[in-house]
Amino acid sequence: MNNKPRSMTDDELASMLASVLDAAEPIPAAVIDAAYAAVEMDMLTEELAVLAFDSSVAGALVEMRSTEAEVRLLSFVNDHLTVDLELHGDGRTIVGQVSPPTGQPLQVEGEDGSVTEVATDDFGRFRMTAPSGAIRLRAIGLLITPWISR
Amino acid sequence: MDPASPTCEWQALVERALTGDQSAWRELVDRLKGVAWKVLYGYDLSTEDRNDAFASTFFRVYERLQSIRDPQKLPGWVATIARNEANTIYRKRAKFVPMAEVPLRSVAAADHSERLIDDEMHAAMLRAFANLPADMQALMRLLSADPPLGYDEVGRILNLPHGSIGPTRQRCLQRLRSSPELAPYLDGGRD
Repeated sequence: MNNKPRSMTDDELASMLASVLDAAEPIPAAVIDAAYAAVEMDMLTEELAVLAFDSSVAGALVEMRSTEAEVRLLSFVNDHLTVDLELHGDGRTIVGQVSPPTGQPLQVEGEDGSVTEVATDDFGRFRMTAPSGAIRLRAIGLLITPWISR
Repeated sequence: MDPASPTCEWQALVERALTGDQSAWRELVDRLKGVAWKVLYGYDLSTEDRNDAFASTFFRVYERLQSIRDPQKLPGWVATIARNEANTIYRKRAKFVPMAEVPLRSVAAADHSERLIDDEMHAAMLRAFANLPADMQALMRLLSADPPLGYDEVGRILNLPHGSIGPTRQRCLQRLRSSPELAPYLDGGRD
């Protein structure tokens, strides 16, 4: 053998193992390409809306009456739609409005992968009891919000 | 490769990716792909399922990029998402056990691309590694991630108590040292 026996510390051994594993367990290039493409796949379906307003963020100074104090107001916007949300103090109730009205239900996605639908009325208004944990809303083909944690 | 201020660097990449900057997203994928792959490689999934889990991990990462508050935690966050994606795919296959956790697998010598390794000590180390039990392989693989995962994050992924990780790592390295494959290359097998 070419290598003379040598002494190595645990850290040296571990770092040699790291480079050995990188070489022996390579990530297929096609799989990396699929990861690169995540950005395009998302755009093809619904456009991610940006948070345009959040009453809970410092700096968003809003005059609130005491009855409104427990309501957090959020607005999400993209090129197609605006979604305004009131998150109520009970942590579950959400009242909102999609404008312009789409006539289609909104999908509410939970962190656990659950999807429920909520109907919107002629004015785009809706009311729901949201699952606990982070959620996001999807108007199929038009808009998806970022994850909203309450 | 590490910039002077990694926190700012992660933050800036996330912000640029969120505006649709594809080169920033590719840079994020390049930095985080190793972590996701090392998590997924240890699970008992078919090659196809593993590849799918890898792609869907980054799909989720992209979807949730907006909600990450501390971009410095991205590696641990990606590791967790990768584990969840592996579980999701595994549960689809194992139809009657909805909450089942995907088991670890032992990666055998035949699974490794040894032809890519030209150093004989490295090849010996790889054969010794392939003889470790699945949980030891998974631990050593995760600890070799770059950027590194903290012991708390590694413990969360593998359901190991934080305090056991250092000692187990030491035991794994000792087993590699004293293995018939690697011992001849090391000075007496001592530390």
